[in-house]
Amino acid sequence: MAIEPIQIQQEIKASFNLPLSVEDAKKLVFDQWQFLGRLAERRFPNDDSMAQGALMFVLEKLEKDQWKRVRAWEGQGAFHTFLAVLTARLMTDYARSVYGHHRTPTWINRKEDSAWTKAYQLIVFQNYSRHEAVEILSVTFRGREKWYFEDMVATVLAKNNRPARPIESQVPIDAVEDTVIETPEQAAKISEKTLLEAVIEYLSNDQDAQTDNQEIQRLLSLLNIELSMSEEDKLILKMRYCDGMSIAAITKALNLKGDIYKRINKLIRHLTNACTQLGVLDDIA
Amino acid sequence: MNNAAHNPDTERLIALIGLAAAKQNSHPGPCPSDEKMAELIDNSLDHKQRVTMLRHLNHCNSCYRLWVETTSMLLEEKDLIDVVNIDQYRATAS
Repeated sequence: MAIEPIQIQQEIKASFNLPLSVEDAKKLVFDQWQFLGRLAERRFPNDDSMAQGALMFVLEKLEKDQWKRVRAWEGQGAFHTFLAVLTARLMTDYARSVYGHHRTPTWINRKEDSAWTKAYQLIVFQNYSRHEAVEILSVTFRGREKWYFEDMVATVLAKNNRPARPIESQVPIDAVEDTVIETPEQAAKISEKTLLEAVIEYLSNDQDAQTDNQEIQRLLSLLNIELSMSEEDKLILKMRYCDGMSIAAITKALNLKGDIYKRINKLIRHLTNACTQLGVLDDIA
Repeated sequence: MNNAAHNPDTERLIALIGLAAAKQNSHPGPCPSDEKMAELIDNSLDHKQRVTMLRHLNHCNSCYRLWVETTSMLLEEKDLIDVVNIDQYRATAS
């Protein structure tokens, strides 16, 4: 994803001695000031106050210690992109510092994806409806699939408005007769929902800790031996199925060539076969 | 459950199971510098460096999130520039 023409990058390198002096670092940042403004607007859309606050925060942090962060640029990559990475990191710090005052719950703060915080704000602080929140999130975080935000909003709603304990009522005899009694084998099976929750929790954890569910851990260990996926394959699946990113966004972000739909389908077939051979799917109720 | 390709929910579950299984015993290495992250975004790393970076992103959620966020912002910026360029081209052509 070459954002900046190579000639411009070479001109920047040729115009400045490396490592950058304090004056050069300052000049390079202010040359890109409009660009930083646009990044802030994108990061905090429809919220000028947050965008301006973020921009000031970024500037304050960049100029700290005589522009130390900027002077760390060694000229290996494009300065433009390097500055964007620095800015994205600092804007995340800013968002966390601000949202902290609103006391978002820990489970939201633990989410790395800033869309979760936005979803929480829309539902809890701004009282948007489910439909409205999904629409706003879809526009704000482009390149993601709608189902991703529908799941996200449903989770926020469920966690924030826990249903009251159901009132016990008399059950008709007919209903009791229809109740299916689980056999020991059925009881031992893992429900699809339990498995999904366990793997999402495991994937969102940076630690190498194993899952708490020993049966799921056993299945994952078995499967690990059978799998052979490249790092790029894994990242494609992560972007698609953990973050709901569109095929177009994945293709651009990873500079992929060829038919990505086919590639994903092939990966899913490979995984399905590995799961089937090991009986992983048989163990799911 | 075996007809995964026709069921989006099952397809997603299978993909996540695969990712969780692949995460086991993987070694992400240290977090990269901001400049290395920029080189990945610009697609200017050699093959070995790129694989090392992708392995790290697969394991480290903080770095993965920073990469996704920066890349998304830059892609939107690029789209904006492309639109401006097309408008300029049309204005010049007319």
